[in-house]
This record gives sequence, C-alpha cells and structure tokens, in this order.
Amino acid sequence: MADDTSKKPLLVVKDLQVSFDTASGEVQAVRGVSFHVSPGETLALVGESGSGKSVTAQTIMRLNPEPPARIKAGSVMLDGVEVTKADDKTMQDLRGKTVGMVFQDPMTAMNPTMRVGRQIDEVVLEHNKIANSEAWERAVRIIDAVRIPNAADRARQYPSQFSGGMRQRGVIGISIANVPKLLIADEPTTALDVTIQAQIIDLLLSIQKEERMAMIFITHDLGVTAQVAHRIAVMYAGRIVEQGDAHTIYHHPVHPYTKGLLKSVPKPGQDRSVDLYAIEGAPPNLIDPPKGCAFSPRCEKCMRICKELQPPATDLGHGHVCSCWLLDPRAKAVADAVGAGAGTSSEEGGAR
Amino acid sequence: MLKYIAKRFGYSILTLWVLITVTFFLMHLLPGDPFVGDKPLSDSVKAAIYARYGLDQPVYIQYLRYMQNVLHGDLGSSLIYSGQSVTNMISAAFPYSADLALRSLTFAIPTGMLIGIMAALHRGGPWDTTALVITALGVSIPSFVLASILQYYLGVVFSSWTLANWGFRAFPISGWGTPQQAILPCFILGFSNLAEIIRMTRSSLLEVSGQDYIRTAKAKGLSERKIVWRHILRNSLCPIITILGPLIASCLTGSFIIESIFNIPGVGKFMIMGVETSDYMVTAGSTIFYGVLIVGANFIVDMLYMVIDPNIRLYDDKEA
Amino acid sequence: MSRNVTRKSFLGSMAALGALGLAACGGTSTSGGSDSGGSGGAGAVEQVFNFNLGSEPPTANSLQATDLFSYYLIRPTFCGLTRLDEDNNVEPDIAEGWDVSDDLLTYTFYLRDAKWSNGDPVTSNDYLFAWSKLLDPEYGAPYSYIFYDIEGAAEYNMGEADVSALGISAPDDKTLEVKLVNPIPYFTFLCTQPMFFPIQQKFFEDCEAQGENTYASDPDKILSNGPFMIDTWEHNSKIVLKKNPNYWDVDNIKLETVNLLEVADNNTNYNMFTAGELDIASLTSGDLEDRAKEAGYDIRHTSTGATYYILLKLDSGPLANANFRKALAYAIDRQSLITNVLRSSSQPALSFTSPDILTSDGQEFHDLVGDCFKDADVEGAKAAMETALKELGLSEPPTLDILIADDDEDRTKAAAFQETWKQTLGVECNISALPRKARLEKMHNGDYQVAFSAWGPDYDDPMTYLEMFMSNSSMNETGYENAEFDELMEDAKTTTDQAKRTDDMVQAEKTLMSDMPIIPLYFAYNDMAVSNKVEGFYSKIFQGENYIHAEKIA
Repeated sequence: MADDTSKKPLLVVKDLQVSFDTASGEVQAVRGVSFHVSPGETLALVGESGSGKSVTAQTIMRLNPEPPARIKAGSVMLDGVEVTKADDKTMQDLRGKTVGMVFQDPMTAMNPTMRVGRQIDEVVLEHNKIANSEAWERAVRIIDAVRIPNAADRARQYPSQFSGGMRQRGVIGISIANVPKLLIADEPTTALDVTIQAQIIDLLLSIQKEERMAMIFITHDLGVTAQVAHRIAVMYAGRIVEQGDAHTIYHHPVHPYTKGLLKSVPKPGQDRSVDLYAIEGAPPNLIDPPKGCAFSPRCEKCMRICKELQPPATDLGHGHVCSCWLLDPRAKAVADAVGAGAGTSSEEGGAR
Repeated sequence: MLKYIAKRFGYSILTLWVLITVTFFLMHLLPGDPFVGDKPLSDSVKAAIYARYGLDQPVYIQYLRYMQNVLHGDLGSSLIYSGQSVTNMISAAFPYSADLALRSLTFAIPTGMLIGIMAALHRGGPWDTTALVITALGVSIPSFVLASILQYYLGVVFSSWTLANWGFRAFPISGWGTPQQAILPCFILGFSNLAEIIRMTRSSLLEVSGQDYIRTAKAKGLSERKIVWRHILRNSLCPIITILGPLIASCLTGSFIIESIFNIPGVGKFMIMGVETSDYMVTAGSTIFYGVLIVGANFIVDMLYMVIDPNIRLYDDKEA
Repeated sequence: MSRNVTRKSFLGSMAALGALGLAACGGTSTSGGSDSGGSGGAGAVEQVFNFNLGSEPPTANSLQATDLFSYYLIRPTFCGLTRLDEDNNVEPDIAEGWDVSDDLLTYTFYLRDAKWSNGDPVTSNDYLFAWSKLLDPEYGAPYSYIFYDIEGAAEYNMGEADVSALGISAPDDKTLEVKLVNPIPYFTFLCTQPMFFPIQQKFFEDCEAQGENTYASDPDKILSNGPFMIDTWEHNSKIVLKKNPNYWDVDNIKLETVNLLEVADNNTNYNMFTAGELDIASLTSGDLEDRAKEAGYDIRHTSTGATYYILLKLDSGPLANANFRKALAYAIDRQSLITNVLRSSSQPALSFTSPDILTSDGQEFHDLVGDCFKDADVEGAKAAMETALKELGLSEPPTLDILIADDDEDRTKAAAFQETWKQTLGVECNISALPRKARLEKMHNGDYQVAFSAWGPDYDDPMTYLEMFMSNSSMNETGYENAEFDELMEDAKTTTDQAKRTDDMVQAEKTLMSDMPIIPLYFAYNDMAVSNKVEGFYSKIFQGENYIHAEKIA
C-alpha cells in the first residue's frame, strides 16, 4: 500500500462545520473537520454511530437535504470545485461522474420497480451523450465487472431478484459506472455477512487499483480498515481526533479514544474468560456539545483542561495529527508525576 | 402473473357472493313487514301481495331464486314502485351519477395530485400551505354545508343579480344536463375528494422521498425533475391508486347529499329513496350494485399494481 | 424557476377550463320550467305550471295507490263519476247526473259522452271492471275496505263469495247501477276519490299480458280520461303532463303543460321557488315560513284534515283507567307544542274530528261538537290524576313506555310530553325509537303502551273519523269498546234521517272524548307560498294541491 501523497490531493476538506436545524434545536453534527484524499489512495473514516462520518461524506456530494442541513463553515474542495458554494447544476455534474457513493444498506439502495440494468445505464446516459443501446451494453459490462454472473440476464431483472451481496455489487456498479475519481463507500459491508464482506472489499480494491480511484471508506469496524486503508482518520463527536497512515494508527495510536477502539477489537485466540473491552459511557448530545474535549467524560486520562477547552490539533509528523491535551508539553509533567507515561495499552506510543 | 390475476379474480367473486348472501339474509332479518303501511291490511290482501312477490316461499328457496336472478342481472322488483325492475331503475339513474363522478374526478384527481406532489417536494412552501388549507377545509366542512352555502349564494343571490343585470342566470339552482348545472355539484363533490387525494399524494410522496434509493438517484447526478419523474412518482403511485379505486367507485354510486340538494336523479338519490321507504329490494339491489362497483374497482387496482410494481408479478411466479 | 412555470401553466389551464364552463351560458336546464322573465310575447303567457312532488310517485295505478305522491299523478290524469268543487261540494264529472232510491241504497249513474285519451269512449264497464278488480281477493288492492258499503263487496273481497255477488251492474254503456248495504250519505263523495276511478278493461289486460304489474308504470301504459295526460315520465327526475284534448271538459282547462318535479331537498325547493322555477313552495319549517313572510309571498294555510293524536293501549296497566288517561290529556299544552316545537299553523285538537268536515246536512261538525276539554289544563290534570291514583290503588304515579319513530319530529314531541307529564303529574316516561316499518308492525301487533298516530279522512263525513272506534271495526287499534258508542254509531250508519245521524255522531264523539281512549293533539295544517303569477290555484282537504283549473297570468 504505497502512499501517494506526493500527488496533489483530489479532495481537501478544511474546518468543515455542518449542522442540522431540527425542532429540538441545532444539532452540530460536524464541528470542524479537516482531511484530504489523494488520487489512488484510500482514506478510512472511522468512528462510532453519530460521530459525523456519514454526514461528512454526504456533504462532499451535498446529498444532505438542505434544509434542515446547513454548511456552517469550512471548505470542501473537490477536483478544483468548491463544493460548499457550488450551485445545483455544478453538483449534478459532479455526482455520478467525478464522485460516486456506495451506501450502507443494499436492500433499500436501489429503486425496486426499475430494472437493475436501467439503474446503471441511467447514470451512464446522464453524463454521456451516447445511444441508449450503447449505454445498455455498458451497463451489462459493468454488471459483469462487479462479478455478477449472467450479466445480460441479470441486467433485465429487478432488485428483488438479487441477493443482498448481489445488490451491493449492483450499487457499486452504479457508483463506478462513469469511473469516478473519488468513490465514497459508506459502511458498504456492515449489512452483509462476513463471507460476502470479503468479496465486496476485494471487488472495491480491485476496481480501485484498476482505475486508480481515490476512496473514502467509512466504517466503525477497525478490522475492515486494516485491509483497505492507506490512511485512517478517527472521528468522535463531529471532530477528527486523530489521523495518520494506517501503520502509525494501528501500532502507535496516541489519542485515548483511538487506543480504546483498538483495544475493543476482539482478537482471535484471546482469553475467553476475560470480558471484552468496551469504552465506558456514550457519545455526547450534539445539540449541546460540550465546550471542552467531547471525549473527556469517557477518558481515563481526563484532565481539568480537557473539560474546559478543545485541544488543538498537534502535528506529530509524517501526516500524523492528533488533537489531545495529553500532547501538550505541560501535560508531560503531570504524566511523569502520575506514573509510567500516558495511556494503559502496551501498544501505546506515548507523547513525544 | 396469470396466477395472480386468477387469484385476485377468485377473491373478487368470493367477496361478491358473500355480499349478496349477507345482504339477502339481512333483508329478511329486518324487523317489520315490508308491506306494512299506515292502514292495516286485511289478511287476504296481505296474502295476495306476498304471493305476488314470492314471499310465501321458504327462505332458502327465496335465497336461491334471488341468487339466480342476480346472476342474470335481475335485481328484483321494487316493493314500492310496483312493476319497476330495480335493475332498470339503477340503469336509468347510473348515467347521471357516472357523469357527475367523472366530471368531478377529472377536476379532483389531476389537481389533487399536482398540489400533493408540489407540496411534498417543497415542504413549507406556498404549495404546502395550499395543500394544508384545502385538506383542513375539505375535512372540516361537510359537503352539505358547502353545497347549501354555494347553492344559495351563487345559485340564488348571485344569479338573481346576473339575471337583472346581464339577462341570464349565472348558476342554476338545481338539475342536470347543461354544463352550467354541472359546475356547482361537480366542484363540491370534487372538493371533498380533493382533500383526500392531496393528503394521500403528499404523504406517499414524502414517504418515498425519504427512501434510500432516492438518495442513490441523487448521487447519480440526476436533476430534481428527473428524480421526481423517474423514481419518486412511480413508487408513490401504489398507495395513491389504492385509495383511488374505492374513491372512484364511491363517486360513481353518487353522493346522495349532492344529488339530493341539486336534484340529480342518480344512484345516490335512488339508494336513499330505498332506505326511506323501506323498499328492501331497492336497498338490497343498490347495495349489490355498489358492491360490484367497489369489488370491480379493487380488482382493477390489483391489476394496476401489477403494471406499476413489477415485483408483484415476480413474487407470484416464484410461489410454488 | 422554469420548473414552476410549467406547473403553474397547468393550473392555469385548469382554471381557464373552469371559467369557460362558468361563462358558457344558454341551454335549458332539465329540471325547472321556464325561467322567470319568460319568453312570452305580448299578451300570450306560456301556460306552463311547475310543481314539485318531492318524491317519485310509486305508481299511477288507481287501484294500488295509497300515498300522496301517486295521487298527485292520478288526480289530474283521471276523472271519476263525480268531482269536488272549490268548497268540496260534489258535482257531476263523467256522470252527468244520478238517481238515488228513497231508501238511499240504490244509485243509478248516467254517464255523459266522454273519451279516453286514445279516443275510445268512457263506458260504464270501465267502472264495473275497475271496482271489481279492486275488490278481487287475488289482486290484493289495499283500499278495498272502503268499498264494503257496496252489496257483496266485503264477502267477495274476503273470498267468501263470487264476483257475481257484487251489487254493481252496467245495464248499458252509459248507465251504472250500484246497490249499497248501508244508506251512507257520502257515496257520491267517495266516487270523487282515486280508488273509484275507471280503467278500461281492454287496455289494462293488454298491459298485463305484456308483463305483470306493468299497467301504469310508464306513459304508454296509461290511458287517461282526465284533464291531463302523461307526456313523459323520467323516473326519479321529472314528469311532464300535457292537456288531454279528449277530456270532456277540455275547454275549461287553461294550462297546456304541467311539469312535476321531484326535488327532495326543502331548501333547494324553496330556492327554486324564489327563482321562479316553481310556482308553489311547501313551507315545511318555521324557517322557510319566516323567509317567505319576509319576502312578501302569498302564503296559504290549509287544513290537511289529519288529526294527530296519542294512541293508548287500553289494556295496559294504568291506561285502563279513564281518569288517568284524561290526566295525561289535560296536562299537555298543545298550543305551545305547535308554536314552539312544530312551528306550523296547525290547530290544537280538543276533540277528534277535524274542522272543515261537513255533516251530510251541511253543518260544520267540529263546531257542533265543540271543545271537549281545555288545553294545558294543569288543575284539571292534577285533579284527574289524584282520582286515578285512588281508583287504581297506587301511591306513586306509574311510569309509561312511549314508542316513537326515529325521526326528529317524533323525538321532540316525545321529549315535550315526557317533560310535561313528569312536571305536572309526576309520571316518568321511557322513550324507545324504532325505524318506521318496525314501529308500525309493533303497533299492529299491539306491542306498545303509548304511541303517536295520525288519522286522515277518506271522505267528507265525520263517519270516517269515528267509525274506527267501533268495537267491530277492523281499523280499531285501541281495543276501545263502549256499548253506547257502538249503538250511536250503528244508528248513524243505518238511519236515513240526516239530522238524527248528525246528532248520533255528535253524541258519539262526546262520549269518545269523555272516555279518552286516545289523546287528540292537533289538527294538521299545511303552509305554502304561491307565486303571484298564478291564478285559480287552491289547496283543499281531499283535493290536495289543485291546479287543474289554474291559469298563469304572467
């Protein structure tokens, strides 16, 4: 998994803030998120439900219905276009052509009364001036490319005649039909069983390799990220708490939340008599987010400052960035005083 | 697919059979002698009348005879209007009700769906407000109130004014036959149905709009118009035609309120007449007629489902 | 945005369509006759009369008809041996004249030259046939009992004798002879009524050959000998009558066309009247009457001849006691009921026979009887109640069950009585409402305690009111038995002395009222508004709304 950061990034997200205006108040779903993705690379966006990862992804394509969603601040620069300020027509041009999306639930992601082939050739015809028959043939080829046998027959069928895994392949087919530069996969395997999962991931990877597609892979499952990601960004309560290349994040995590997540991953062969590890507590209510670090109530290393102020992003070098007060030089003194360094995991790296 | 059709058809026939049987027995279980009048009848007169209507036979024979007649389209003779065949009376009345219904629905269905669609697509906008107002009015103002008000203010007050100033009456008070006479009754009947259609269309569209596959469609870069036209509308149709079927059937049998107030000799007025005069043959015949229309409408709706939603055809074929 | 324009233009075209419909004028409506501001040229007024029946007449067969609506159709299209003038006096119609035997039992009618609408002459056989058919036990005509004063009629109708026993004969085409068993003075009056109208035998049998019960079901199945004939009959919609050129008295008929509409809704009816589409409007509620008064229309109050009363089951508990019954009767405030509840011009009834009924010697019977008790007589009621409780050996006032029809009028009346009787007499009432037919059946079976009823006269003589209280009458619903009453009535039936007859009946009614087997409530009156464009129209008991000799003057 070579890192292609030398190329100019395809997508740059900077300080993105997105809120939802609901009857109960303003839900601050994304509270200042910054990351980038380069051509051919896969960024895994990891976090639990409600962390803001899907909202972020959908904002890239402006798929959130715009009331009630509102881009409060920040910039999303996709292939030279400032998405936050783009008009409808520009967005329609981007969607399905420059950027595609694969959704979580394959059972509901396709129109039940439209033939699968038609759903694919629709996106082809939308962005290409070609004849219907040619578009149909392309659709059949795509169905074949996503490894569905009997593509010509299958193209004439309806989604209800496809199994879950096949439907997901169909959705993938729709999203890559025009060979987009960026593919966003929002938990594409969560709803599928493990054997199918592997196949889908394999498919995505091979498409990526073939077409040199950038991919944002959203998941809550750290096990899956290991297989696909070049880089990982960990989200919590609407902010990215830590991001870096996959190796660093797995072997040298810094943020207590990241460590906790890694600890939670069950490993084969671990002692069954020991309870599985889970991070205590729950994410905060985003209508009234805390003014300090959102993770503080659940953090074992919580300091008074954590509850008062948001920690700034600290650049730890080689693309590894983390927002945690523990990284502040003043915190080292506390840590030394308390005991053997920050963190409890044997895999932790500690502050530098 | 054929199995689906056959099954639906079978259910329709079964429903009709149950309807006819229940109607027949209810008729007979009703307390009160159908021929009892204000002046008591002597026994010999009563016997003669009973014989004339075949009421001296045991019930099961009467039932079989009735069933047989119905299957031949003979709904019996009116008890009050001696000699008149119920089937003929309904056939004479039906064209009026059908005319009234078709005109009202031609107004209500497209308008209702249009407002419903626009209200769903632009929530909170002027269309949505219009939809809300019409729905509220349609639900809260009973049609007879609306009819009386409009008949008086437009048919009497306004028309007297136009007669005096322009030489003709703008709105006739009642009756049927000219386009002018059709305006008020059709509008009022249409209005009541309009509210229902708007409500159903709007809620169905909103439900479909929230579905995941609409998001997929948007992710393809389709314009809103294309998304509505190709993805939202077709999938919204099922709940809408589900109510449209029986709605059309009930309009076809005439709204008796409107027919009474505007003196339109349709099936609704006919049915009420049967109830008021305790003419059981007329009531039973009208019930069966109405039943046939509704069962027929539902059957057509079932057939339309097949066209709109291909999955229905498929599931049937998959069944063993 | 361009999107909205297309939607708006669609809506716009719908509105345009609507407006087009609005603007389209012309074309005559199917219902309603000529518009006011009619098309008559100078001097010539269109002789079209527009009348609302309110409901579809069940039949035009004079042998089967019993209801008002059928009579609306039959009266203008047929005529009998005799007819009534504006004061309800009997005058010749098809019969030019008649002889009555001294014992008042034999009538000989001499028919004039008259024709049916198909040109055939009206013959005495037409009467013989119609009356025999009506009495035919297998035909089951409902009004057969009214013929029972004719010799052999009762026996034939009950299947005890053969048709040859009937005392009706037609010695020649223009002579009809009728033998009676009772010297009733109102026989020629009876001949004015629809059930006595003639029917041509050949025509009737031709119709029946084509289909059972098809006679009189459509215009081509009726033969008329009256002032009008049925031109078109759109069932449940409209009937058009046209002047019958073959009517013997056609020169006296001014109207050319009569439109009979079937507008069920009272408001629509009134609206059409104000717009000139109807020439008469029934004022069925206090509201409409107020509006008509305000608008300055010509309002007529006509007695219907019907007496509304409370029916009491005489063998049911306390109702067997006359004082109890009288207490109930005296307590009611009839005037208040009429003014506040019914809001009509009906009159309180303090006796049974309706005003406007004449005796055979031409007197107003109601005046001869006088008021038999006081209206809203609280004192009298309480006194009678006290006596009744003592006689019945009760310490507490009993409760009563009232059976009513499930319509608003009955409910309000029942509530009023419930209130009155509780307040004045301490009698509690339970009210049960049933649909019309179920209620009638219960009443015919005697399964009630207190119920509401009404009686309309069949002919212009007090006998039609009083006869039903005779203990041997088939109409006797109450079970009332009073030997003195029976004796008086028997004498009235058989005597030929008219003065004695009148006196018998006056005494009989007074006896009835002192027994109070029923409680009279009110004499029903009808109110209607008449267009000022009509002359010669009148409404009278026994004739209903009579427009036969009316004329449009504008």
